[in-house]
Amino acid sequence: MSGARKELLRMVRDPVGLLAWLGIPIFVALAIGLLFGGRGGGRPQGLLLVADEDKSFLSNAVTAAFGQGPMKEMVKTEEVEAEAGRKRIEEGGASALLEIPKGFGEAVLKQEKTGLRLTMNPAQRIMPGMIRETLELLAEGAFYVQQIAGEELKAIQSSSAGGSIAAVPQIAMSMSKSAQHAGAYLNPVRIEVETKVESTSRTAGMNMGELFFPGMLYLGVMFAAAGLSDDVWKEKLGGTLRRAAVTPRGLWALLAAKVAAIALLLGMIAAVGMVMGWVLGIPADRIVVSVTWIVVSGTGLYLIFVVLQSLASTQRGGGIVVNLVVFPLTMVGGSFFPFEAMPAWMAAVGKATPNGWSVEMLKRLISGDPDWGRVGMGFAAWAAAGAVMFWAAGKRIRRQAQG
Amino acid sequence: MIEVSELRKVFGELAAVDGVTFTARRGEIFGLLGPNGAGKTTTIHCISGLLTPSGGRVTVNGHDVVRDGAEARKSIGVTPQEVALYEELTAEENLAYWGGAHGMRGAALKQRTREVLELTGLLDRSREPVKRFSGGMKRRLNFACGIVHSPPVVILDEPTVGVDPQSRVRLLELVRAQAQAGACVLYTTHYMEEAENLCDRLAIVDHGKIIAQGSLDELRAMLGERDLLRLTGRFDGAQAALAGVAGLEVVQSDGETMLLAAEGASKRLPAIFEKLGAAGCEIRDTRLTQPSLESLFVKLTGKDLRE
Repeated sequence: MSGARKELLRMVRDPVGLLAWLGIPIFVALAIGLLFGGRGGGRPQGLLLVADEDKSFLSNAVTAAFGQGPMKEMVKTEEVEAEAGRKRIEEGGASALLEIPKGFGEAVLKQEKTGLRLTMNPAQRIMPGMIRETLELLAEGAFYVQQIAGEELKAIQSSSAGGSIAAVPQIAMSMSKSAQHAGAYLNPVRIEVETKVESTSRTAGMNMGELFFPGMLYLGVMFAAAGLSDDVWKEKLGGTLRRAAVTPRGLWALLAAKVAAIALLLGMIAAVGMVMGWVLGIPADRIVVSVTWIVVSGTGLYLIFVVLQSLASTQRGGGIVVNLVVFPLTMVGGSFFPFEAMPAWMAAVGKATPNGWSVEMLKRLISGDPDWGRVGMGFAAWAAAGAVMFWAAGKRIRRQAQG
Repeated sequence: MIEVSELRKVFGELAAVDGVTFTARRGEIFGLLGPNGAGKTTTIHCISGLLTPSGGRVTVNGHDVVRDGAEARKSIGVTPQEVALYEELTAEENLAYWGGAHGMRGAALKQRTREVLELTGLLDRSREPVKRFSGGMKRRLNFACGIVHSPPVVILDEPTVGVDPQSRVRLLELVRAQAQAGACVLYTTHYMEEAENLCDRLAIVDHGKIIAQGSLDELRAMLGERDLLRLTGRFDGAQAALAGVAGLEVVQSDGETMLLAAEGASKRLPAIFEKLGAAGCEIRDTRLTQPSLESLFVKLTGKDLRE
């Protein structure tokens, strides 16, 4: 207890350092809040990829619908080949992919059954949903238009140049309202909108804040853990490491006290971060387990850095080694860019790093339904790794004290 | 209290401690005197349990430091060479931490903290961060942290290095008080005067070996009643010129410096100068010292302690 108290007192006596560690999550939350808004986020903007294999008047009209009214400001459209579009969605490069099959326009006009295929990006919640709803409304409206003004449309289709294309969906929308009265007398919808979420990833349904927040929070955890691991060198150069080694309590107690103190500090960072996260929309019932996860994984990361520090022969060398490890890990570990924005191979590498794996677990904890068995395994894995690192750090620190 | 028998510590090819044997008793100050790199600190590290000996045996308060290390460490209070304190913490907090590291708790720790603060003259500054202390105050607190748990064995590794004369006197008084209170004090230094004034018994260490040990009187007796004469100049052929002079021993001669041990050297200076002058030697400086630890050290090792 006195050891942990001593470590905490030393942290408190360095208020600038302490405020920096605690300020990181606040800064992160504010930055995300400013960028993406608070609960529910600000006005999102999405990218709809359109693979139009029909190239007909009606297929153009469907695409043009997203360039009208409020949708114009919220959704940008880009024409792509179907295969390229699927790949872009897989990489998280757009909100959704709309595939219009060949013969779509002809089928609508002949009142034959046809369909539109919409593949949605699982990493986005708002935009793909809006695109789907717009498309369903459009399909419904198009049906009524076809029922009421089918002949005119056929004429437009056959001339291939009649009127404003952009006007068609507007006509369809207003026609949809007026046709509601006659709805009971009309046949059911013939255009089916098939929607598909690209992956079953648990990140589906996350907003932008939730996507960025875990990684950026771990950025703070990584910096705090790496920065404080340097304390081993301060103890060695100050002679206190050697002095502690010849007390009955010994160096294991010194290390345990440091671990307890860093766990408490990480707990504070995580608590501040998660409260700010709650403001951004993270469910309140996930705060405790998320804070615990950050503390356990952050302490494990700290011990890894302590081992790295103690492997070096000088303080400067230790700092260089840790920095050489921290920066690539944060880059690929989802702290600067979410995995969803990375190429698949880089995301796979990032998720295999200790911090990246922890970020991914935190994402699962704060969104969707986490697999609690897997969460338990995660805690067990960090506890085991932490125990090994604690042992290694203890051995290395003893050698440092003797040197 | 401390029994060291044939202690050896080897680092690769280098034997830092090579067969050191001595006993330090309760209530006495036992000094380890030697130049830097002689093996004093390595010996202390083996006794305090920081290093594992390569050979030999060390017991502290009856506990073997290898087999029963934890018990042995309970009896020891170490004041290291460096100021091993947490500068961000106050004097009181440092003492509380190091007392706690030796198993002290609650009211007993609080009371003892106050006692040692008073003893070291730091009570009025007890709540100030150590970083605001002067060098001498830090040294005193460094010592206080080594005795806060009232250890029966106190080990001090060159505690006065870089300390101003006033603080040194104060610190040495504190060390004496520990021995008078019944503690066994093991003290390393490379200051001759400090060793002469402070220690009851001494071991002179060089190249990892004890080359002489005993009380100050016993050590002086080893030198005899001879004075030490140090001459500086040019001394080609001087050894041959002085070879026939009775009761005169050439301890060291390197052509520019010559050390001579002689009984009643002051009376024999004219004769010595005459012999050297006749041999063509040139004398630029002369220094005559009475028998002392320094002269003994020079006699035993052939070099100055400060070299």
